[in-house]
Amino acid sequence: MITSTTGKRGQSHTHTGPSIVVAALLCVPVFAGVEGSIVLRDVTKETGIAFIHTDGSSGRRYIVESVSAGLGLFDYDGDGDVDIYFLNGAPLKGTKVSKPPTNALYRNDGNFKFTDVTKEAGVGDTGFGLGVAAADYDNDGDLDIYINNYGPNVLYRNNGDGTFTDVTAEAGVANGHKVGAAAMFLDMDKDGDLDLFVGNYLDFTYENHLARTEKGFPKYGGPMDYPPMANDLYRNNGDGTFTDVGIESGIARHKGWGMGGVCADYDNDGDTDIHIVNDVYANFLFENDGTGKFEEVGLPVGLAYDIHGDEQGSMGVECGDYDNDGWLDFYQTSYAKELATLYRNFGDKTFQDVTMLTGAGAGTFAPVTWGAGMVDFDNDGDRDIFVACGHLQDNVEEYDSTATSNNRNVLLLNTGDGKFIDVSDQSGDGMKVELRSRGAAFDDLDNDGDIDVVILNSRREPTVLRNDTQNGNHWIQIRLQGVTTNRDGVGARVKVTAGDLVQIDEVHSGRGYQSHYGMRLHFGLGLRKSIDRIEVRWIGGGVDVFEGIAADRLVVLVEGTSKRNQVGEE
Amino acid sequence: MAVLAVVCAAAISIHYVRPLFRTDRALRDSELSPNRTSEILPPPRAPLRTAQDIAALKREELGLAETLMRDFPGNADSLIIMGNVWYRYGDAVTALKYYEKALEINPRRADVYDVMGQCALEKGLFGEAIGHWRTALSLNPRLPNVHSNIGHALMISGKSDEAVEELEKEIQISPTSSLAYFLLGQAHKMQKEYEKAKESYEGAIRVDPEYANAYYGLANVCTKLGKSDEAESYSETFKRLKAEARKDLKDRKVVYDDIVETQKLAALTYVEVGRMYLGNGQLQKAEGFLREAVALDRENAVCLEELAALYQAEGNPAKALVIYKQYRDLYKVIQQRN
Repeated sequence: MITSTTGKRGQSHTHTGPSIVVAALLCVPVFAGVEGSIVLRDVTKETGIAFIHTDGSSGRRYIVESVSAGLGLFDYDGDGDVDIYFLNGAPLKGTKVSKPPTNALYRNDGNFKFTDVTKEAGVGDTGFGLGVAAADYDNDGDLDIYINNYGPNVLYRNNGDGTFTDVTAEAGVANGHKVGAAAMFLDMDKDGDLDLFVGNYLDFTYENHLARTEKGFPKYGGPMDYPPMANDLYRNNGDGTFTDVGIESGIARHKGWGMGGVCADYDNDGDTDIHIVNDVYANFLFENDGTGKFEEVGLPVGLAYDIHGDEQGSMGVECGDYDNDGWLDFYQTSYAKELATLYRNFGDKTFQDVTMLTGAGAGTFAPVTWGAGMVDFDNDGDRDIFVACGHLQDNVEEYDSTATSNNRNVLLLNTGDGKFIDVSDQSGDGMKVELRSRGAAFDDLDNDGDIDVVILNSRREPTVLRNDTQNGNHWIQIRLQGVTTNRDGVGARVKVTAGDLVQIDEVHSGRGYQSHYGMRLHFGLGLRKSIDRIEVRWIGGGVDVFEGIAADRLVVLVEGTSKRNQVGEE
Repeated sequence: MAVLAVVCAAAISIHYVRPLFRTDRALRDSELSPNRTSEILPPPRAPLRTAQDIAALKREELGLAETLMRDFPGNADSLIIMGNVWYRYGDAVTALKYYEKALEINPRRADVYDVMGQCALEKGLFGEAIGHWRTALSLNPRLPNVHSNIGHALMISGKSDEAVEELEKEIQISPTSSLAYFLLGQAHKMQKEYEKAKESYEGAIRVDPEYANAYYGLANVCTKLGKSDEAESYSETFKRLKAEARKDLKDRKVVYDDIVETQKLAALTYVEVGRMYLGNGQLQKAEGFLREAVALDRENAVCLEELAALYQAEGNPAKALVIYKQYRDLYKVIQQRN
C-alpha cells in the first residue's frame, strides 16, 4: 500500500500490499559524481521563528540558568514534516517579568517557514525547562511530550488533533521538585510500551546557592558545589499511568550529576541500555538485563572516564556507528579545556576513547561543548559530527582572555577511514554564527533528503541551519511503525545494506544535550541508487527484512509486514 | 590528576631567576623571643573582601610593575613581571604583548616561549603551541616539562609516534616526572604497543605510587594483553585512589575562596619585584617588597624563603632565623594537613 506523508498519525493502516510503505518520493537535485563539501546556511531570519530563550536570570547566577536548555524536533501533527519545540527558562527568585516566558512549539509549514502554535496546541509550559523527549507513550499513534524541568515536570498527551493535554498528575510523573536533565523514553522491559527515564542534575535550592567569583568577577558555581542526585525511572503501566521503579531497577542506587543521555543497545543483545553522562563525575552506563533491571557498568566498559582516566565536565552524549562496524559508538561533549570525546565500541563490551586517534576532538578543546549530532550531512555513507559550543559562563572574558562566552559551533567531516577533519571554516555561513549554544537537534526540515540543524542558544534566538550540500549522493529515510511493539519503534535496530555499504541505527527518544530528534532514521548512501536490504529488529518483537528498495525516499516500515518476518530475538 | 591541569597549569608565570644567598652561620634559638618574632614578621595584610578590593589590588600590582619598568628600563625581567601580573588576572592577551617586548630585548628567554606555548594551548592552537615550545627547547634543550607539553599536544593532534620521541626525551631530562612516564604510556597505548605502555605506566607508579591515572592505564592495557587478574587489581587501585582524590577535591572546593587565592597570587608579584631589587643590590627596597609579600600570604613558603635569604644577605642572621622558624612551622602545618 502506498500512502502519502500527509496521512494523519493515529489513523489505522491496512497492510495488504507490498511490505514497504513508500510514503513519498522526495526529489533532490542530482549531480552524480560531483564531490561537494558540506554547506550549512543560516536561514534563521527567514523562518518566522520569534522565540527568544530566557534563563530566568537576575544576576545572582543560580546554577540552573547556565545549563538551560534542550529542544525537540518531531512531527507533532503527523503531517509528514518535522516541527520544533523549544524549551525555555522561567523567572528565578529575584527576577520579575511582565509576562511569563513559555516553551514554544513551531509548526513546520514547509520551505523553512514556521508558525508559532504554542497557545493553540496547549504546550506553553511556564516551568524552567531543561530536557525534553517526545514519544507515543500511550501507543495511540501520536507523539506526546515530556519536559524535564527545574521544578515539577510535565507530560503532555497528544490529543491527535493538534492539541495536547497536561496529564502529568494522572500519569504520576511530575517527579517532585528537582533540577532535571535528560529525559528519555525506552521500552526497558520489552512489553510494548515506553517507560520513562528522568535524569537529575544536582540538589540545588535557593537556600544552598553558592555565589562564586573568579579573579573577583562573579561566575556560576560548579556541580561540586551541590550534592549529587540519583536519576529516576518510571515503568509504564500501560494504562496511562507510570510507577516509580528507580530503586528496584537499580537506576536510583547511583548518585551523580546527570546531564545529557541516550538510550541505546550498546551490546547488541536486543534490549535497551541507558547511558547518562555526569558533570565532573564518572559517567553511568546502565546495562539492561532485558527485564528492566540495570547494572551500572561505566567503568568496566570504559565509558566512565576519558583516555587519561579523568572525569570530564560531561554535557551531552550522542550515539551512532561512526565506523560502520555494526556497533553503536558514543560521542560526548564536555567543558572548556577538555576535548569532546569519541568512544569507539569494540563489540566486546569495551569502549576506547579514540578522540586523539581519530581527530574527533578537533576544534572542541577551547569551548564548552553541549549538543552533538552524529549525522551524515553529505550523504556519503558515514556519520559526520556537529558540536554546539558556547561557554557556560556569560562573562568569561572578564577573567580569562583565552576564552570567549560566545563561540562558533564545530563541524567535523568523517573522511570514511575512521578519521575526522574540522571543516567548520569551509561549510557555509551557518558555521560562522557565534552564540552560547546549548541543545542541538538534527532532522530533514524541508524533506529534501539531507539533514538540517536547529540550535537553542542561551538568552538568544535559536539558529536554524539549512543543509545546502549538493553532491549527488543518495539517501534513504526510514520511519518505523510498531504494531505489537511500541508505535514508533523506539529502541528498534535498523540495518541498511546497499552494496558494500552496511549501516546501522536505532530510534531514540531523547538524546544529545537534553534534546530530542531523529525519530525518522536517515542513511546516506553515497552514489548507490538502491538498497538491497533493510533489517529491522523490533524491541520486544521480531525481525523484519525488507529488500529491493529504491533510494532517495522516505519509507515507512510497519512491524510484521515484511516477507521475511522472524518472530523472536536474534 | 587531570593531565591538562598539570600540562597547562592555570597559574603559570615566568619567574625571574634569583641569586641565592646562603650562609651557614649558626644561630641560637635563645636570641629569639615571641615579641621579636612579631616584630620581624610583618603583620598580615587585612583580607580582601569584595570585588572592589580585588580591583584595587590589581591596580596596586600593575602600579608596582610600572614602577619596576621605570626603575629598570630596557630590562626584560621587568616586562616579564608586568606580563605575569596581567596573566594572573586572566588577561593572557595583554600578558603576551609584554612577553613579546621582553623577547625583543632578550630573544633567548626560553621560559617566555614556554609560557607562550601554554597560552596557545589554552586557546586550542596546538600547532602554534608546539612551535613556541620547540623554540624554547632550541634555546634551552633541558628546560623541564617542555617535551612533555609537546608530546601531549602531538597526541591530541593524533601524532602519537612523534609524541613518543618527545616523551622519551622528557624522561631523560626529568627522570622523576611521573607525568612524562604516564604520557609515554598513553602514546604507546595509542600505537597499540601495549607492553611498552605497561612499562611506562609502571615507571610512573615507581615515581608516584599514588598516581591514579597510571593505574587506569595499566588496567586498560592489561585487559588488552589478556592479563585479566592484573587488570582487575589495577582497576581496584584506581577506584580507591579516585575516591580518595574526589574527597580531597571536594574538601578543597568547599573551602576554595577566589578572593583569598587572588591575594595569595599578589604575593608572588611582590616576590618577583623584590627579587629584582635584590638582584640589583637594593636591599632595603627589596626588603620592603618581600615583607609585603609575606604580609599578603603568611603561608607562602617562597615569600618566607626569599625574605630569610635577604636577611642573610644583609648579614642579619637573627632575623633570618625568625623567618626560617616560621618556615619550619609552616612546613609542619602543611605536613599535618596532608
